[in-house]
Amino acid sequence: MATASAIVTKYSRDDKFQGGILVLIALVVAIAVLLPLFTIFLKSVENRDGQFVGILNYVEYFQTPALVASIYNTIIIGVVTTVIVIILAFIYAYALTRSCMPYKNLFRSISLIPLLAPSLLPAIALIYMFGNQGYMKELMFGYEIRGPIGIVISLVFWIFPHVVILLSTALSTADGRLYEAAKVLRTKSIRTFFKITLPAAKYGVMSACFVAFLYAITDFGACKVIGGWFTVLSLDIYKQVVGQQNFQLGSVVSVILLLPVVVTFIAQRQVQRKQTAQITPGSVPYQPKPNRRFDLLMLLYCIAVSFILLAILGTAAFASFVKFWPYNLSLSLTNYQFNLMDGGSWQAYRNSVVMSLYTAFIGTAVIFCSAYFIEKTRRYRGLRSSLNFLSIVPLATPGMVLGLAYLFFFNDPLNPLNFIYKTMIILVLANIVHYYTVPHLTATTALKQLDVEFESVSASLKVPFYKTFWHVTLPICIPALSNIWIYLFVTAITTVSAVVFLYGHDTNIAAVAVVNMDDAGDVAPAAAMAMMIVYTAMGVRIVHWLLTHFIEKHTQKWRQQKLTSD
Amino acid sequence: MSSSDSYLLIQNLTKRFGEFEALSQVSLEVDQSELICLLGPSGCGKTTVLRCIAGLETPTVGTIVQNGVDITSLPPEDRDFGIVFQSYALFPNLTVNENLGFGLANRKLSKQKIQERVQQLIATVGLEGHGDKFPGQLSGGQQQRVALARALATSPGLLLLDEPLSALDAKVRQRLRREILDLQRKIGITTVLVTHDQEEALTMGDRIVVMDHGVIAQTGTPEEIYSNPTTPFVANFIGKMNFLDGIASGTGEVAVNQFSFDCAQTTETFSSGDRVLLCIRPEDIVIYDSDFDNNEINCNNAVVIDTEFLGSVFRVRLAFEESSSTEFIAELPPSNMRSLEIESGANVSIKFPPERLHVYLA
Amino acid sequence: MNYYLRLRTIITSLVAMVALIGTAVAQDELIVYTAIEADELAMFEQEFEADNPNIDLKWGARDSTGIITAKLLAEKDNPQADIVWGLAATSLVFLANEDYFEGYSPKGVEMLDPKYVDPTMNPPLWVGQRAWIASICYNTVEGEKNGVPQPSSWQDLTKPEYQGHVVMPNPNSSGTGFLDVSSWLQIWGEEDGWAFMDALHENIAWYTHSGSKPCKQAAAGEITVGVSFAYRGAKLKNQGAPVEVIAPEEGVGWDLEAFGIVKGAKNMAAAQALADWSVTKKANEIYNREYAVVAMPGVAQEVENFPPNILEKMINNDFAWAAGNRQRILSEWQNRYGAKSEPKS
Repeated sequence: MATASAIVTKYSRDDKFQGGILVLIALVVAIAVLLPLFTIFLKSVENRDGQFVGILNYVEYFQTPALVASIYNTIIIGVVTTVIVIILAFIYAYALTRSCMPYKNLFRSISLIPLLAPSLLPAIALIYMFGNQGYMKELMFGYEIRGPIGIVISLVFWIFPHVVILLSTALSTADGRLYEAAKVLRTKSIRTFFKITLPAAKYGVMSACFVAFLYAITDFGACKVIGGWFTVLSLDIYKQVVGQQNFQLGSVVSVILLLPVVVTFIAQRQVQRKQTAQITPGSVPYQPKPNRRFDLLMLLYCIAVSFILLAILGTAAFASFVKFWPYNLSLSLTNYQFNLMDGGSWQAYRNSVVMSLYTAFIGTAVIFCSAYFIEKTRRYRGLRSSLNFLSIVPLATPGMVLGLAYLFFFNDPLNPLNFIYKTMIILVLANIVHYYTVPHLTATTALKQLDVEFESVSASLKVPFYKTFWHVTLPICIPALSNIWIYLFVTAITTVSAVVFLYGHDTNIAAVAVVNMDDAGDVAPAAAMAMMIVYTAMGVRIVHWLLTHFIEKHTQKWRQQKLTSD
Repeated sequence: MSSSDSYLLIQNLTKRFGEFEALSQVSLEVDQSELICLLGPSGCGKTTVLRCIAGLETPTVGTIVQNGVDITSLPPEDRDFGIVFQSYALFPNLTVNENLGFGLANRKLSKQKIQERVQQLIATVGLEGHGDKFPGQLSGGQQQRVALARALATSPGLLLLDEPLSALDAKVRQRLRREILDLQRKIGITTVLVTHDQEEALTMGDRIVVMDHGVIAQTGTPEEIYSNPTTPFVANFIGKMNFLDGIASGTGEVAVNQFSFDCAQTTETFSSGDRVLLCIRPEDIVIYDSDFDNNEINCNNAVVIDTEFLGSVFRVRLAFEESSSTEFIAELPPSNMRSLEIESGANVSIKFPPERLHVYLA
Repeated sequence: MNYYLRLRTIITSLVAMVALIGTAVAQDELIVYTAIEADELAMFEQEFEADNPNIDLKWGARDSTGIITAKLLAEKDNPQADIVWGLAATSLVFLANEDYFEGYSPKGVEMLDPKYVDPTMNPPLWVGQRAWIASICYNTVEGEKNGVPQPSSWQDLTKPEYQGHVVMPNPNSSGTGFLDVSSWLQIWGEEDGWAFMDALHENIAWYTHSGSKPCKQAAAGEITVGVSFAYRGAKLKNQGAPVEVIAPEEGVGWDLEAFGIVKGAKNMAAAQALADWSVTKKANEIYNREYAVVAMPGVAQEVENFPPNILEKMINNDFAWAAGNRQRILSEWQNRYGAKSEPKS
């Protein structure tokens, strides 16, 4: 008997359907991520007429000292911001996790407030605080807030919550047994800190450093508003593309910005992997013990930091109500009459809300479904793992670069999808793609927690996979879906970088309006619009929180475990 | 290939994962209504066999025929089986009733018919009054019964159980063994049970398939497997066994140290000088007073090293007087212990009954 | 095969639907590119649509002069706009040299002052609407506080006491910025003009993206002296800002807001309707609400706080020269002073 060739299982209806969906996902990834990013590289080696010129554009770039200076500026901003924000956030996170100070939840909430604001907001507030008419101008000792100082302070404000979250996680996973051992051995607390706390949190701190650096070097909003004459790479992209319509040089800068981003990103992934490997099953969570002096010190520190965060937010809020800073400090709503402002309108605000809702709803559905098909499909292993890999690409793509890629790709008259350019569709698409990775990881984690055999059981019961998805997978993952929704909503309404190249006159959005109003010199209305974003993000967050509690109470009853014995 | 009236016929099943061969040339027949246990240590390939039967893995080579149909390349959806996983994989957000009705709802049955069938299943597994509870509100044993009922809900022709009891504590496990067995007998469903627990296999299986490193080591009824293990691996894996190094003499005798044991009962023949293992189960060793006539066949002097009380039996560690390096273990009931006054350091006579000895090539 | 056919039908009908929606939308849409300030946009749209209810005016792009010009240039091979409306005449002349526009004589164009209409072609490629004029905004409060005297000439701004107290718009992005630079070069000639700018550059705190921002920043006290345009200064003063609007004695640059119909416009009829409407008396009256100088003689009313003698100080602006040298001037400026510029320029 001849040896039979390898057996191939026949494709069931479910298999074919899932295969079709996975191919569709791959197609969308190609259209929404790979091809646009590829056009950036293409444009950077073309001249204005679309002919291949090799590295000529790069040569031109490096022969322009003003442009090359931005590389240095960007790195400096990144490093300085990272050092400051890590130190400030580390102590804050330390207080939240390792002290017994009161009101921890309050301080945790306050530290998260900057997440609800676009990075433009601290920049605007700083001009009111330390600008030529700033009420705390004297504290600058003659230095100019417009420029690197303003950029760094704005970025520290804006990146602070991200780092606090990361460091709190890193510090709260400490192994309590080590501290007990140290205590038994009468180790001095300062020695304990350097010999136990820091090494244990090492990878968490490194990971947070990389994240902070990534955010700092790719930010656009803060640099745009308060950068003054100081240039960074993301601003150069904007200048070349919007100001000079020099798409070739714009893509050269994009490629150059991608380099440090990708390197940092890869380093961050490596470190993060080590961090998760560090938590051993036997670890005992560390329980801080009261220490009056230390707790008081931590409390004072948190009060000080919270005060600064709230002062920045409060300044923007106050300035938005002032009639004519600094000559007429009476309060009014004039600055909220966006329809009378150059570059802003209530339409822009409505567009923002609509865009963020679309992004949140469609994004949640799309991201969760694709994570489901990637995670839970039985076959097509190769395709699934490549899609899984591609899903982290957006995290390593700065918003400016993605936006520019979309501009090139979708504005091309030869592209049949050209009609979506400048419409709500492209704004929503850009947002979903830009913020794809974090929700994808959330969804994948939630799906991994489900029993891997649900699908097998369903197959044995001859129940089509979509019924199991609808009746079992989806309801169980409601908490994850809810988290993804609010993440997408808040990031979409606060973002400016990806969409700044993509909006049209009818689809202007609030964050872009802030940029444009500030450009036109209408700083107070810009502050007002930025505050509208904060109010909205905050309001939606509260409603979301209430709704989540309500829904979980009514749909997640099965989570209440009540074990009866046999 | 030869036809057979067996319900499930597996031939030459081989599964490779890259270089690693998880299964090689596994052949197996399961009769209608038979409960067969796949037994072996973890990684022996027993679960892979089960997953190939379910269509959750595709074998590299081989055929699987169920009820006369070649199902080797069919996807699980197109096969006819119910399955219970080690984790049960109960849908946590659905009630017991909904879990049981999950596969029925897809069969174009009326609501009432589904309801009736669910109630019937609940009664079958004895979960009356728990229908509206969520799995999380049930005990482990109850969850296990729900999983079993769900697997039976659509009346499949074949029941696959993947370590169904391993997540339960010992007492519940024993009770459920009985229940599953009763249910299986009552319905008469052909069943393949995968387990690493030899006791479970011995008590439940009509036949046992012992697997080791992707191959079948032995197939047989529990008694056959226990009393006539064909390889040292089976002998060691099922029950307890003393292994003594020896040398075959060619005349049906094996020499251990300077003692010669008559092993005429064992079927295999060895050439003179072969290195062999002489095996005997602890409970088969007979112990006499030291003044017993040592000239009887396979009798010898031994010294008690220590004893261990295990409740229903004593475990006695012994060594041949002359060379304490060859140790072995005997088990005997407490009454014998008392009558023989066995204690550490005591001299006794032991006997290895020839019909109880197994010899394997070392 | 069956599947394939069905799939094809579905795709074909989808494409047809999209195309249908596309054309249905495009039919009555007039795409207008403009550089006029956003606070006026809604009013113009409303007034025009009231008179032309069948036309849906869409502001396809609204940005600073330089950016709209660059955008139009970038879209040269695939123009998106039907009409360019309210853009600096210098830019229109520059684009006309690129064969961007279709000649058209709006009904009633003969009623306009002929010096505001394209003199080179008949029918004209572009028609002016109103003029805006450079000015200096000076914050009296900050001036006193910082010891910066009120300037009366451009040359005053190069004095040492002004160091760090002057802002002006970047000519690459701002039409106002360009007319300043172009006027200085026309007043003093190339060599002295650039020498003046070199000296001025030493005193500039920062260059802004938009032409109105220097005046807004002066009004808010962020800076003492803002090089901007008269209309913005007058408006801010009317709002109560402590600013003086000054027309420097050497003369002031100015430019026209003008329109031109794009060659091959998708909606030619609507574009011509807007052109016709734009030369009416009504339109000119609306222009006058914010600007002091409009194309139709006899319409202009005085604007409060407008520098009184400014019309005499308007230089004799050579549009052809300005347009012909636009690119050269801008890249020269960028090379000399680009590093101090605010983003986007």
